Amino acid sequence: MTEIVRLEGVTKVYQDGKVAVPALRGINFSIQKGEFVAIAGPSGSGKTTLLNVIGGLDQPSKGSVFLEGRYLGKMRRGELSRLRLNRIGFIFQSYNLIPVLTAFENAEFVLLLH
Amino acid sequence: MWTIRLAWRNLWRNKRRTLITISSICFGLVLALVFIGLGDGTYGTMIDSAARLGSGHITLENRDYRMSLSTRLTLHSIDDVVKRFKGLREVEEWAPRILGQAMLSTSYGSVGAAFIGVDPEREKGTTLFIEKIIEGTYLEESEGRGALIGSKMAERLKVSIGGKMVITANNLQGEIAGELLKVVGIFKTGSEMIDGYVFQIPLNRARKLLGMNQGEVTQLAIFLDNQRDTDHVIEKLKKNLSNFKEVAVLSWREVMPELASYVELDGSSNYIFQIIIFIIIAAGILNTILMSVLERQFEFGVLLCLGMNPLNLLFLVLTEALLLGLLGVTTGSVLGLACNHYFTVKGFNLTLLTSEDVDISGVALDPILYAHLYPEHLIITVVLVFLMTILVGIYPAVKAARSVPIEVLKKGK
Repeated sequence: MTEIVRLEGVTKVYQDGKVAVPALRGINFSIQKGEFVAIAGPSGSGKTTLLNVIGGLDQPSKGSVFLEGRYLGKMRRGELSRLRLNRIGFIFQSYNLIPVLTAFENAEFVLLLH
Repeated sequence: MWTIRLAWRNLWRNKRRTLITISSICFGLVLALVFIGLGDGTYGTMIDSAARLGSGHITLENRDYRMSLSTRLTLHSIDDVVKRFKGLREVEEWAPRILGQAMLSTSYGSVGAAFIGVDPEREKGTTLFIEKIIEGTYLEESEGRGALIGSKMAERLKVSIGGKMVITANNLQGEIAGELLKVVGIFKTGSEMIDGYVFQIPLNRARKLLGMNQGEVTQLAIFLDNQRDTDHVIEKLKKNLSNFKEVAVLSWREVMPELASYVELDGSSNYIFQIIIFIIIAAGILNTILMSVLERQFEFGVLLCLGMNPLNLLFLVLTEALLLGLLGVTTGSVLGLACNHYFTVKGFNLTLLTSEDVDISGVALDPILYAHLYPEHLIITVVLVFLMTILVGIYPAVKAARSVPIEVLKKGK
């Protein structure tokens, strides 16, 4: 099986003024191709942060993230965009539709970006 | 293609704001086009009037004449000179002239004045003096004793049509010479200087007064169909007259430097005024685009999450600015041209603002200004406004492209 996601010692700490708020503490795990993974936990447990880090939307404070073997830490913004566009599918919790587009066009939009 | 579609729809999200911005671009462009059109028209009319009341669009004279303005410095074989420019299609008419200083006397008193010896037949198609006659007629014969004088001069000498005057001047031999003249017409141009100081007499009377030979003149005035051809015709004339070493070819700018300076200075102040208008409009456009970008930060975050390249986002916002500019410039150009057309036909009546005659650099300005927008000025202004709109869009576009998706998503809608 091919490994598509790998996290090594990923830590994410948010700074709330002078108070450091840890969201992820030393996460190590991998996802194989074809695998179905669900991340569950209470509100504020760091699920969204983890997904953001995997999606290249957020940088971990420590540790490394690999997507299909590629290290995300050194990628530029454009490369990360291409990666999100071509390799990752995002479904937002609150849909986040583009208001000026119709339902069909919203669905079509990512395909058009290709 | 989707960028244009998306940009177009984004533009109409806030219809009122977009319409206000388009109106401000449109208003600025209309204002600029009207001012430029009136400027072009007024300067053109002033130059034409000055040329037709003075020494033509192009003046041929003795190379040394302008240094001393001496009647001894003449052009001799004018027939040969005339042959060199007669066939040029830009040349509408030409007229031989003898210019000099003299004393005009009546039984009431004397005044110093400048006379222009003219060939009445040739002048009929060129000079503006004929249109400005308020009493009597224009000069008829080139041998006659008729004189056409200004209204101010007639007042000062207390002379009317049929009145006699004596002209006294130094002839070419340096002796005092005199001739009897009879007033045949009185003109009023509105220029204090011309109406009080200039008068016309027949060419041969001037020759006789000064003791000049037939064919001798101090000046050949050349009139063009379009004053904008002046520089181009001067080039041709200089080439055609290269063998005539004594002949100087001068443009109206050299003969009337005050008028040339006025046109240049006034034109520059017009440009400064337009730049100020453009800056105000640019601030309005910047405000609109920046507001619409700041309002959509969350949406930009979503687009970036979905994988939109930041560069595409930059183009999207720039396309919005481009469409905004295109709409403003198109409506502005149409309305600007319509206003220009109105002012070309009806004119702008200066008497609404001032009841006095306007005299600039010795040229009486027609109180009704007519617009005449030159095509290149139209193109430059439209392109400048359009480019300005896009330029103003760059900062908001860069701001949009630099959005950090996670941060704007966290902030929420």
